[in-house]
Amino acid sequence: MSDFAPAGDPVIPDYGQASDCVINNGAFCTDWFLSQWSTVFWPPLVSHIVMVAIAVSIGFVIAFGAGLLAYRKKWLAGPIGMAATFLYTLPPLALFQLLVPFTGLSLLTVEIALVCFTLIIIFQAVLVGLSGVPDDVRRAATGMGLDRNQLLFKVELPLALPSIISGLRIATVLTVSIATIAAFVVDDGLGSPIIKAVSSPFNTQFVGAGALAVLLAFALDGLLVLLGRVLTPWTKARS
Amino acid sequence: MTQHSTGTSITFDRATKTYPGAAVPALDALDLEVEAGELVCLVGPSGGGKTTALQLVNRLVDLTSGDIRIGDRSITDQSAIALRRTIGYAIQQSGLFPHYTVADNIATVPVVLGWDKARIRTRTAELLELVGLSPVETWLPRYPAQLSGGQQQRVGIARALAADPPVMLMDEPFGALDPITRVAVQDEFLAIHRAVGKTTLFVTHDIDEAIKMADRIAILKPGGKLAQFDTPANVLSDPADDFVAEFLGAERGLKRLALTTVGEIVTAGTTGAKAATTDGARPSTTGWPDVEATMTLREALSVVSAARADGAIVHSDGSRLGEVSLHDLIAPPAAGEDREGVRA
Amino acid sequence: MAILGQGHLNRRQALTGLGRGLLGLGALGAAGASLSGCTSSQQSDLTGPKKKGRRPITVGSKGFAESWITGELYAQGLRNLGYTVDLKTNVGSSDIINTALLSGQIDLYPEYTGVMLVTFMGEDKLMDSAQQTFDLAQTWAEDNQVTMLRATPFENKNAVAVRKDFADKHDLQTMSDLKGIGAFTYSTYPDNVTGAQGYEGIVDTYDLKNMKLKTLSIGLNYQAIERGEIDAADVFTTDPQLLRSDLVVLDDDKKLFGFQNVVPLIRDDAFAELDDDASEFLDTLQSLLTLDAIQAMNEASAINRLDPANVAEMFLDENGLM
Repeated sequence: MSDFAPAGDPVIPDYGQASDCVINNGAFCTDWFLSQWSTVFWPPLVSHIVMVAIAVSIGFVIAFGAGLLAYRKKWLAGPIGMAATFLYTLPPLALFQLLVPFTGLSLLTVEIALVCFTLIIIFQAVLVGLSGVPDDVRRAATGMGLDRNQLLFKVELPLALPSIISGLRIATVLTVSIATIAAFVVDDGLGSPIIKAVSSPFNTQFVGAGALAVLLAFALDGLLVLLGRVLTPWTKARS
Repeated sequence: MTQHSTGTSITFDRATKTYPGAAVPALDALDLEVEAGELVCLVGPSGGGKTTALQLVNRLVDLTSGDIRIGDRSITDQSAIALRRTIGYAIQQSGLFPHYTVADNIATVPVVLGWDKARIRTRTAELLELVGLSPVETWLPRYPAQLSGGQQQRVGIARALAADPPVMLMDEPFGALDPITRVAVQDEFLAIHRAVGKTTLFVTHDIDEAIKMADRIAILKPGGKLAQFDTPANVLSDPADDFVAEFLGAERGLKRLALTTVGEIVTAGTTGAKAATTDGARPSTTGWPDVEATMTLREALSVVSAARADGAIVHSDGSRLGEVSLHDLIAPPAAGEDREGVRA
Repeated sequence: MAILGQGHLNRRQALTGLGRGLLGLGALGAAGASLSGCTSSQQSDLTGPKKKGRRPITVGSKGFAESWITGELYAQGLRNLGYTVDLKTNVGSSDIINTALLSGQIDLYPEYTGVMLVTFMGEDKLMDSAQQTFDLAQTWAEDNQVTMLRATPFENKNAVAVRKDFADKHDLQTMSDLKGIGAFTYSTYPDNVTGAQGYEGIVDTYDLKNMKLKTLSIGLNYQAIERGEIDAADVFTTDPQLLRSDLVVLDDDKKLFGFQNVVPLIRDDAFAELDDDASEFLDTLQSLLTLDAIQAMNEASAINRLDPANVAEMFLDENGLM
């Protein structure tokens, strides 16, 4: 049995009056954007950054290790590259789909998928960077008595940095974009307000969140460019 | 380690290298002794094994059989890494690290050897002065990309000298330079070599460079066999076999003239003027061009030929030393024979 | 263009747009994978002493605003009581979210009693009352080791609305009153023409041969009826537009549209983890969810575009539930 009668009159909160722009679903309502910033935009922006940072960091560690391994053991480059390319070619949604039965609707699912997409980009960047170290430089370094680790850390990796950083830039921008799809799995990231705003068309919400995703991609890319400049001063030096 | 440690001999003792899968050795039982302080050029056609011979010394390539000793010590007595840190190494295109400044490039080996900063700074400055890049403050913070080819090569030499190794290996170090820069860097290197006395093994494919630089030349022929090992003058005047003769080329006689300067034959007293007094029939020097005492006979001959004259008037520091006749130039007595004495 | 699309926000049956279908499949896959573990065996190891927050409770909601708000109400209220709550909004349509509930991916979500009958039980008989609907749904819940808590006073179901002047002119109170008033125009969205509760079902059940059809894209109904382009419109009873428009909802006197009160569905094993304060809170909350209340919250979400979390928080606050 259930009692369908109200237990008493509920107090209905005053939710305020929406502006004409909001009621008419204008292209972009600045008033709403600003008033909802702290609830609708800021938390997803933060979780988006965290998602991307985790994915790119883990992807970097794995792909960097794999890149070093493939560089030292050339025969591994083919198989690793093929495996990473395979992961990269999976449609993100399909990958989520495959993972959900094992890892559930969780951040773990999202991160696994995001990491998968960064691997081939960073792996190749590391491998191309290391392979691009001029032979005469490597020979000179060896001939002067640098051991394998000194060669790697003093010569090969620094010279591979420009390539590695461009790989990181591509991986980061790509991850910022793919992470919006994560909202199909977890209620996190900028994809969340976008998806909600698309199903109940509200322009300000998806325009705002979409613009934030684009700005975030630009900002992170810019940061990596700066990082690259700081780490590779010689690339700017010309006579 | 002192700043100018005297060189140490390098001895190849039936040194042989056969690369995996190769039918014939790249270097076949090479016996060669490079004396302390000597500059020996390894020359020969491609496939003669000259670079292999060089890289055997610092174990970039491992011996198949035989031995190489630096001083009394076999190169296999210590680890390859430790060995290499006692050997200066300079290669074509300089092999400078593009991401290191000039200062850091030169400091590479001192840093891995754990020298303190002050010592490294002093040494770096000293070496830049030595290779003619001064004021040093201008050059220390630059990256290789900011240097000309010749400047890069000078830094490459400074880097090879950094830890004051008794032995230098140079693998076609000037091969990529334009002819004018190349001559200048060769002259500077010779001066440095004479000043610091490092035992130097120098690979080049350019026989003229070898003639100019070497105390002795080792000519390798295909199959990695030593064809001849002797002073430039002897190699030129007395090739050991047809291969050497052919390798030296049709201009062998002219190349020989490059071993002697005009100044040497003027001071040797075989001037046209003296000849005239003994003959009593002094030839006219009218129309003879002026040449500098430092010119090689080959260069002076070129000047005389261009002037369609029978001889040249020799100057040094603006004062007239005497004259040389066309005959003196093309048939100098014992040209270059006292070269050993010239060596520092 | 006002209010465009608002109507479809509230559709009980989530219009699985964009990607939700995908997730749904994922959830089903997960269900398949974990169902083999069998839910009943899990219960044995859940018989310890009750302790708050012993295990996080996962609250789910479907893919539309009313469900998001209800889910937020549950989640925030339980969190306030000290439980660890994980809220998964937008899980998917009824089938998908129900599978997620039974497979243990979520523990609790708001469902509509009528939907349970039609979607989970395949029941097509017309019900007489909300209570009858509730009781029948209860049998499904018991069969599936699910606990059904108190139902809301409000229902969210299809209805026919007319302008007030039109109702006054023809003296309309019930849908049966529409018979014999002469030809008039009714609009619904294209997907809702055929079927027992669609246009054809209404015409059959109420014998309304005078009702002419005009299909409009979802959400355009309110605009069209306010402008007088149509006389009657297919609406949902909790549509916030009903608060603002001068419309009258006609009584479904033949009970064609059934009964759609909201109940919290919670798996028995998860329910066993909760203290009494949790069910007390849910019962109190449910009893406060009147039509006015849910319409106001829907309006805050759909028209003011406030975040469902905000909307729910303010309601809990004002009603002393926080």
